[in-house]
Amino acid sequence: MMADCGGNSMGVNRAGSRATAKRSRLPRRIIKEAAHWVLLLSSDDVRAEDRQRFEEWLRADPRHAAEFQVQEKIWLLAGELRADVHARRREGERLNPERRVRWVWAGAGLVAASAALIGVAWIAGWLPSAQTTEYATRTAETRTVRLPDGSVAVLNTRTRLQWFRTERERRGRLLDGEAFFRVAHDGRPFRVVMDQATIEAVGTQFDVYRKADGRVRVTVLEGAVQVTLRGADGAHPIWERRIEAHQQIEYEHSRIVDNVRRATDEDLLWRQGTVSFQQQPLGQVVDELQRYTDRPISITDPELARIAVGGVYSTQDIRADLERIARFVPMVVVVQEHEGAITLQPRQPESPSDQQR
Amino acid sequence: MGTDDSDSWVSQVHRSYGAELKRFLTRRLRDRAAAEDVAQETYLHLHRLEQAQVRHPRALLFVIASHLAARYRKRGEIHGADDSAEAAAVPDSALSPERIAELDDAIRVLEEIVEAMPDQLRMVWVLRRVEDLSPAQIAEQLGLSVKAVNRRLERAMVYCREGLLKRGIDRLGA
Repeated sequence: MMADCGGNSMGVNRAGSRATAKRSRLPRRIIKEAAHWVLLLSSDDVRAEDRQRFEEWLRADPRHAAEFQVQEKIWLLAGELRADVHARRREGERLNPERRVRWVWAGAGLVAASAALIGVAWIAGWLPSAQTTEYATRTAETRTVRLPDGSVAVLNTRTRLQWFRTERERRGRLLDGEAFFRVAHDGRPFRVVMDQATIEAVGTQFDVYRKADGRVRVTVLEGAVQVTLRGADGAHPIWERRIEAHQQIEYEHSRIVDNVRRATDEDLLWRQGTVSFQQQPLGQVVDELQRYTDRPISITDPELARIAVGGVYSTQDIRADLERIARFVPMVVVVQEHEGAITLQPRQPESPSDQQR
Repeated sequence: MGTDDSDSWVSQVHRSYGAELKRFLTRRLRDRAAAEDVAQETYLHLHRLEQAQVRHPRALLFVIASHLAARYRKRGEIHGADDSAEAAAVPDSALSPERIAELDDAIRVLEEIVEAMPDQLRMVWVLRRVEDLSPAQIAEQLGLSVKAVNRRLERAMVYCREGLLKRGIDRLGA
C-alpha cells in the first residue's frame, strides 16, 4: 500500500543510534537508487522513458517514494546554503574564519583546479580575491553596470546577474529578470548562462529576458548570438540557433516556443523606462506591467483579459498606466485599501453605481 | 525590511523565490496549472506562520512545496478520490514550530556533513548546489566526463543521506 509514505512520509527509518543506522531496515540499494533519481529529475528536461522508469520504480516499493522525498529535501536544503551565502554577501559579511578554514579545498591539485573555476572562490571569500560579483535591481529599478572587461550591462526590474572573472572567458549568469548587454571587444568569448542554456555573443548588443513562467526571450540588436540548450546529460545540445541582428527567439526548457522573428528597438524600450504594446490581449499586457510593481494586479473577468490593448506606457507608475488604459477599455481600476492590490473589473455601462472612481 | 502590512514577509518570499518555485513545481508535476495550484497552496501555508518563526524562508518554501507536490501526485494516482485514506494520510499539519526547528537543525547538520565530505565529492556538490552549475558546466570546468560528475553527485547525495541517518535524523522538517 502506498499509504506508508503518506502518514509517515518523512519518518523513513527511526534510526536512534549509530548501531541501528548500520543495520537499518532501509537497504543501501534503495538509498542509492533514490539518489540516482533525485539527480536525474533535478534537470530541466527529463526523457519520457526515464520519467516512466521513475514512476515504475516509485510503484515497486512504498519505501521508494518515502526515500525519494527525503533525498529531494536534502537536495533542496543544500541549495539553502546558497541563499545564506547570498544573504551574507549582500550584507557584506564574511563567514567566520574557523568555518572558512574548514571549507577551504584541501590538496594542491584541487586548489589548482579551483583557481580556474568560476566563482568557487567567491563562496565566502575563501580564496584571496573574490571572483564573482552579483548585481541586482529592485522592482521598477533600472541600473547600468560596467563589467570588469569594459562591457556594459543594463539591468531591468527585479534582476539578478552574477558575473564571473576568469582568464579564458567572460561569463555571467542571469538568475532572474532581464539584462541588456553591450559587449566590449577583447577576444575572449562572452557568455551568459541559465540552467542548461548558454548564450554566446558573436556580436555586440543583445538582451536576455528570463520570464517568471520559465520562458526565456533573447533579442539581438547588433551582431549575432549563438543560443545552445543542452540536455540533462550535457553531452549533446538539444538545439542550437544563431540569432542575427534584429531577431528574437523565445524558448522554454527544451523547446522553442516562438521561432526566430523580427525584433525592433520597441522590444527594448524598458531601457528608457517605457514599455510598448501593439494590440496585445490585456492579460499579457498586465503580466508585463506586473514586473514593474509590487502591487498584485488581477483581472476579474476572462473576457476583459482578452481585449486588445496598444500604446506606450511608463514603467514607473503602473497605476497611472492602468487608469490610462481604462479610458479606452471598458474597465474600472480598483485599488484595495490595505494591501494596495489592484483589481481590474469590467465597467457596466448600465449601472453607474458600479463606477468607482 | 518591510514589516508594514502592505508588504508582508510572504510577499517578499514570493518576490524573491516565486519564479524559482514555479520552475521547480512545473518540472516536478509537468503541468503548469497544477504547478500554479500547488504554489498557491504553498504560500497559503506560509501565511499561517509568523515571520519570527522562520529562519530559512527559502528552504521552508521548497520543502513545503515538495511535500505538497508529492501529495498532489498521490491524489492523481488515486484518480479523483481525494478524500481517500491514502490522500488524507499525508499530514497537513506540516508546519508546527517543532517541525520548523527540525528544518533549521537539518540545515545546520547538512552543512557539517558537507564540510566533512571527501574533497572529490564536496567540490562537485558545492558547484552543483551552491554555484548552481549544470553537470555539463562542472564537467567542463574540472575536465571530467559528465558521467563522472553525475556519479560523484550521486555519491555525495548518499553521503549526505547516510550522514543524517548516522546522526539519528530521519526526517527533515515539514
